[in-house]
Amino acid sequence: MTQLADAGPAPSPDAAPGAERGPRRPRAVYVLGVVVLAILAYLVLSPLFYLAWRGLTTGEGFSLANISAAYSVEGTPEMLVNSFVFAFGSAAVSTVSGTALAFFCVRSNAPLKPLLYAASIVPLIIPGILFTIAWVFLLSEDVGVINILLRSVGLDFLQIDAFSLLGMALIDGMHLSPLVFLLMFAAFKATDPALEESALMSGASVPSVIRKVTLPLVRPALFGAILVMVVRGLESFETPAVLGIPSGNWVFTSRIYQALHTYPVRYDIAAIYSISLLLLTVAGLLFVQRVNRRGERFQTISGKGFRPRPLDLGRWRWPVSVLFALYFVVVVVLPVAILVWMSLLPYYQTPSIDALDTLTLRNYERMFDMPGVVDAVRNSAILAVTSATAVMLFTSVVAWFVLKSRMRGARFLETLASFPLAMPGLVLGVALIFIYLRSPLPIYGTLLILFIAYVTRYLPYGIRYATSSLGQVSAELEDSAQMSGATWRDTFRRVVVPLMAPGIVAGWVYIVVVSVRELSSSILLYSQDTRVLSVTIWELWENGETGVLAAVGVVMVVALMILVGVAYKLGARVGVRDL
Amino acid sequence: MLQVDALCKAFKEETASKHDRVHAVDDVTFTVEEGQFFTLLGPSGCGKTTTLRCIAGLERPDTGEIVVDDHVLFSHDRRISIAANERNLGMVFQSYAIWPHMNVFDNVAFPLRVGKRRRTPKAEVTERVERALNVVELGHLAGRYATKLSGGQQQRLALARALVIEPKLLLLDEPLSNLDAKLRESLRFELKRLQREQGITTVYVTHDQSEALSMSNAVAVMKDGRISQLGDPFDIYLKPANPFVADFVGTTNFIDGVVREQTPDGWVVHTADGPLTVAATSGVGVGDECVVCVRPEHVEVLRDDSSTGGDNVLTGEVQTRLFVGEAMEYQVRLPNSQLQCRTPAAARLSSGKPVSLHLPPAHCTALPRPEARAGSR
Ligand SMILES: Nc1ncnc2c1ncn2[C@@H]1O[C@H](COP(=O)(O)OP(=O)(O)O)[C@@H](O)[C@H]1O
Ligand SMILES: [Mg+2]
Repeated sequence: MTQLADAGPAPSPDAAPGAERGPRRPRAVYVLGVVVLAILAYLVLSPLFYLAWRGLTTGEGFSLANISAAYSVEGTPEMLVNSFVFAFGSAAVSTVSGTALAFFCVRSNAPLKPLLYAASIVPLIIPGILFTIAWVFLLSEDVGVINILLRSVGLDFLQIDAFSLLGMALIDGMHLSPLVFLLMFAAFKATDPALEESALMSGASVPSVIRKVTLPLVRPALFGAILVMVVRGLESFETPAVLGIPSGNWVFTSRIYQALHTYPVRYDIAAIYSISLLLLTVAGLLFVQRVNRRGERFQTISGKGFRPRPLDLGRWRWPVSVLFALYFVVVVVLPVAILVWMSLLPYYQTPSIDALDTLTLRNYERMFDMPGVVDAVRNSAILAVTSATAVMLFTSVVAWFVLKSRMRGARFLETLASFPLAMPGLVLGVALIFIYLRSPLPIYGTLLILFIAYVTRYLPYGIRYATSSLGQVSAELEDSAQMSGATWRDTFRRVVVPLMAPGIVAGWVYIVVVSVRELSSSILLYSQDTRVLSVTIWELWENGETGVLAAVGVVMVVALMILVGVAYKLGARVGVRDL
Repeated sequence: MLQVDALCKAFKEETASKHDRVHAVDDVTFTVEEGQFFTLLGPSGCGKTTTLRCIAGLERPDTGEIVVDDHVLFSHDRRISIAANERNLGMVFQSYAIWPHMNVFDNVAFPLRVGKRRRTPKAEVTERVERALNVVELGHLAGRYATKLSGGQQQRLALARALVIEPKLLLLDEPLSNLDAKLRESLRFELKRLQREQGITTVYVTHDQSEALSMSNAVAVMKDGRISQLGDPFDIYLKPANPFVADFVGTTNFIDGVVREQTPDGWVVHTADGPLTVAATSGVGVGDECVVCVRPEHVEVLRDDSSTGGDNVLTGEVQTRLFVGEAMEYQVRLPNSQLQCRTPAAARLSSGKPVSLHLPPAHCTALPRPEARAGSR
């Protein structure tokens, strides 16, 4: 902000009138600024514009007819109720598990902490579509392994059906709990243990300290996390599509998908539902922002550093750890194990000793014969690499404008680049269809439209990595280059870029990872020749090819874990650690 | 060599209303002669760094003129503003600003590889960098990564980088403030030796009065963006022009009084504790309210056995004493005020003891009261 301060026209009348500005920058910088703004505005604002336009016009011009049409579709009230029940249910599951994990990870002396950490992060690495499919085989009414086990020991009443709303919320919540973990991890880390210690010294017991001091202190963060998770629940596509469509538990996202996959295609309904969903997510995230801003008052981060002091759990140490080990088994080991099991069978069988005889690597071979799988790998790789590269290069320039250019209004660029965070993938997909379906440019049905979707979706991540790594390049490092005689370009090329590089690489790897996982935009934008991996898995699922699906999934999970390991190592160096 | 004329720079206040501006530098004028070591001294926030950055070209002044060697670097009236990278000045930043992704050699070679000097032949680069590194005694660390250096080494590296372009002017912004006390003192001599050997004109910024006094040829004491007093270190310390300088540079006792008459020995000032003769005044005349300044180490403590009073002798009793190693410091309570004085450690007086204090007129100065000066800003 300080840099922006003296960029404005000097209000005092004696300020240099029209004298050229201080350390001169080439005029090209201003041109570049305008170009950056234009690209950002195009990527972020044109989808909004087309959505609104398509939603609020019919053939005869402006009209609200689409709204009434969309909301009078049979089952709409149920869909609305389901959407919220599902979103809040998923948020409840993820908030409770994520917060508990974060608390015990940061603030307790529970043993097996590395396991705790793994349990908290790994679910996010498994693509949502694979996670959900794995859970079909763990929790569906008849074939679900867990349900079969429960029945065999006579605990029938504990059964949950994956295809019920409860099962959907549970599965989605488990998959999203790492996000809460990361948010709350930071919040617990930022709490000054002296506040708790003084409560202990006043004679409070450990549970009452947690209840009366620790939790109230992180309440704003917790509230923010819940809201974020509700928004994510509303946006969630994989679980509602795999589990909700067959069982008739419709929500916004599955309705949008369905509207575009019926005959005749109902663009009007897709547009209205997209707009509704977008309004909800934007409102939710704006609210989060307000909560966070108010939470700053609450912040206990004092200037001096402190280490979070672990609470002594006493005799609860081991019970707590066993509980979390169990959690790890449920959310990480079981889904991956069932995928591996499926991938080794010619056709699906419930795990048993007998089935061991039929184990084979056939599926891993068939993977290569299957039409489209190899192409999908290639397309996914091309898209991931190009969009990650484009996003990081572009956001580095944006970050430079935001932090260093001293140009007025540069902050707006950051807001613009962060906006897609509020745009559900499916909604972006719908908007891009509207833009390019009738566009004279041959973009629809090519990899380019997927590229545009990925770049738009991952701008917010790129800008976060880029600003935080550029933020580390202090102004004096640049000033001293200038004093050494370096021109603006020298400084950028030889000082700024090399110093930002580790953060940029970390962001790049991260975007590669999320691009490979991407389903909710791709599912609307792919064509015969531009299938990507997640879409292929979706199609294999629809065709009942569970064996090959599992084989592809196992390979994908292993590859993603390696990539995430790299990203995590690099990210730690620049202080960005969320996934 | 360096002329700074009527320099002004204001910043917009972040928090306050729109038209509030911080006058970081407010009409600053000074001249630095060839080969001089010139120091800007003042409390934090008084505008030293801003002044230095204006000279460097990193900050654009609102008005004024900056000339180095008859070469106009900035002139508001003539609409001249040379970019920082074309001013050919060397600067050491408070944080040193060592580039962490380069080793020692590359850090120093950087200025010879960019901008106008980018075509410097390789052999010459090597030769000049080695020379600069040897001057600061870092020659043996050329291949080391810059982040692996200690604080003192980083400071010297920053200096080598500033010197390698053989600048016309060296600008130093509190280069010693990030070091611990012992190192600071040894580097102070080092820096002064280097400056003298290289004969390089230097503008030095510090808030540490002993650094300023021990190293400089000339000192400008700054307050609120203005120069409060400009002079050589002896003048600044011994003949402060106003109570602010007297207080900021060293410790000083202030005794309120009124100038009554001028005598052949100086001026007589009436204070609540008796008349005092002072040898010098600055800015006050007969009849004016004033403060008498006297440094603790100039107060002579007389054992109060034969005390009969006399010229410039005040009596009181020891209130507290402090042993500070090389000396004893006493707070002496006078009937209407308090004085701090400093004696060799050997002469110890206990608390509550009555004492007489002699204030030698030669070391007493009468200055205007701060209130009388207030209102200028
Ligand atoms: N970039 C800036 N924007 C706004 N105010 C500034 C800026 N730089 C300095 N100031 C203000 O100008 C005044 C002088 O600052 P500075 O020159 O850094 O002081 P010093 O170096 O003597 O400690 C301070 O009040 C400071 O807050
Ligand atoms: Mg400063």
